[in-house]
Amino acid sequence: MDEVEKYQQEFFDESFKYIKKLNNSLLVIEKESDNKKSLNKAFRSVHSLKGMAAMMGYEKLAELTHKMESLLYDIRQGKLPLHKPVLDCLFTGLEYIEQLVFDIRTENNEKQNIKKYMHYVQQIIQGDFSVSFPDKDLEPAKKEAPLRKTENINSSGLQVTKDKLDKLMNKVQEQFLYQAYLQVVGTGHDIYQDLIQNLSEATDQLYEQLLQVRTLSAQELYSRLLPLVRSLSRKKNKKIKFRFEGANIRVDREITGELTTILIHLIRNAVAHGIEKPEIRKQRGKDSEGEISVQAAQDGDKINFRVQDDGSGLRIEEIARQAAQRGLVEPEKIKELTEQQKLDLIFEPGLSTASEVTEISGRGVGLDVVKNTVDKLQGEINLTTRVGAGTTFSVLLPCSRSYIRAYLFELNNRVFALPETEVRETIKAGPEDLEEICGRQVIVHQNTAVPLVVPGVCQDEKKFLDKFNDGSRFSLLIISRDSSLWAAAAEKILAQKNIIKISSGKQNIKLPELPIEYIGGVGLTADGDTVLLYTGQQD
Amino acid sequence: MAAKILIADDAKFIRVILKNILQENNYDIAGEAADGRQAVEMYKELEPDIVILDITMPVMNGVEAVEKIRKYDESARIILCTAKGQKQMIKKALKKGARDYIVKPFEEERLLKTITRNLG
Repeated sequence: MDEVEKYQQEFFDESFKYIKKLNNSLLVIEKESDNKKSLNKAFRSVHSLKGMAAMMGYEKLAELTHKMESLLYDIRQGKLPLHKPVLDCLFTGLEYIEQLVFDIRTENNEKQNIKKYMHYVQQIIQGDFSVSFPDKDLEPAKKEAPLRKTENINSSGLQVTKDKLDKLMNKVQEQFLYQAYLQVVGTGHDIYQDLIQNLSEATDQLYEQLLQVRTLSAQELYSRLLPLVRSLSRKKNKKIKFRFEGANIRVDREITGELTTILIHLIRNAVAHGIEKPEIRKQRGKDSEGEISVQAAQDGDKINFRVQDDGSGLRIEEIARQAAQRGLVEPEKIKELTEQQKLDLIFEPGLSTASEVTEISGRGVGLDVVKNTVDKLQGEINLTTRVGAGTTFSVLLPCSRSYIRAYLFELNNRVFALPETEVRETIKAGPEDLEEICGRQVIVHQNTAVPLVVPGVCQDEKKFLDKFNDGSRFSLLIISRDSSLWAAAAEKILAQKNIIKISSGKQNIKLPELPIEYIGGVGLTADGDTVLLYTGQQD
Repeated sequence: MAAKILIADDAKFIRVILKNILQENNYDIAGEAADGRQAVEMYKELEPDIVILDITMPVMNGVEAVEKIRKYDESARIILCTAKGQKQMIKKALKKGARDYIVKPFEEERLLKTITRNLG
């Protein structure tokens, strides 16, 4: 038995990897049925899973993957077409694999019954495409489980709490500070230069990797959604084509949980109430296969997720009427409402949870939940609809909860950032504009003496000014903080950008002779550059 | 001197098991390849006494790898390692010059026997 334990973790890590690979290749095949490469990949993934399951003595998993391998083999040989029944069968198989691995992982027991599925695959292999698979066979208690499971899978079986990640992040930031310190003390010592350079590159890369961990691509998000939407449309007997766009958009993990909830709700509604049954679609002169698309796009500092269906659309007057009936709006006021305002009533709690409204309006279960979640994330949700043509929900969310808009400026080859809210204005100046008062360099700005501060580790104000003795000019950012003014020196103001503020607390790092505590953490620009957050003098 | 063995399997999990068994039985692991092409390249570089080769691997499958390795070294000893249900592929690979095969899940004893048989 200890042989089993010894290899178990390895087995899970690998299984998750292959499940993910299988999922991805099936997604490609679904779109491009002649993609031999992905078909081979799917075959190999199933094959590897089979070998591993056999080694570990997981009989059901071995049996299941063996059958799926046969199916893929026949597809590869051209004996079976890659049309919907076959694809459904493959995707269902994937769900079974996930379920079995999940069972093994949580209960060390292959609980899931696979008999029905095995029978189903056999029929498909024999070319009987009339069969469709009873969805109920998959563990009913775990209806929402696919999500949980795939979450594990998408992190390759490794789970890191956000808390730990943040701690790690803080450590890297600390390292940024030490590195900045080293840069100062090491200046002029040639032998240290290379070392410092290497250290700084390593720190940058480390940080970048951490950020990758902290964010999730929309692709990963989509692959979590897919099993769900797939089984949904099967259950509702609807033919639906799913289209996902913007797979490369990255989302901060902080909001992926909520975002997933939002998307599931919207997709579920689109499947259940938006897209019509095939026969009705035909009557309406539409393609019998409906389409739901989810599109992710970067929109400045926000990300936009659109869920669009080409279904029946919402009947605006009906929504208004129902809202009035439920006392959500006074009947006589309805006439004064614009179409959009009437439409927005659908987000009202009393309205959208009512099941009969759902039938009439064609949409609406739990939209108040969606709205609340969006509000919580400080986002916006809008919808447009046309009767008979479909509905589009557009959700606009901040990339991360912790982003701020900031001025980026350069000093001593370092990029600093200052929150825009603190910068009152920026001015150009030369050394001659400053005077020394009580041992401090001060600039008179709008009749106020504003002391000069040089951010970062190279704090010497005179040394900074000396650089501009040739008549060149520098920039000053006038900062207003705690009702006093400071002028932060900058060689160059680079841009105003959104940055994700990684740490908010002070570092509490004491470094000899260096007022490094003015650096309040690290920020990240949309291009992935790291910047030091300047917090200024606080004493 | 202990025989040097090259392991080629795209599943790390299988490589780990093979490695453990082989090392416990005093074989030298010449190297580990994760795909067919790597296996061929590593064979040329390391010239192991024996190769344990998975039949379905990315980049280049086992059958092709057998062909390439045998082209480079006519006397190469290659043992195929495969899950059940791969008879066609095994036949092809044996034709191309693989010497023997084991089927996953293999037992330690069976694996070791196959190796000694082919080393002799």
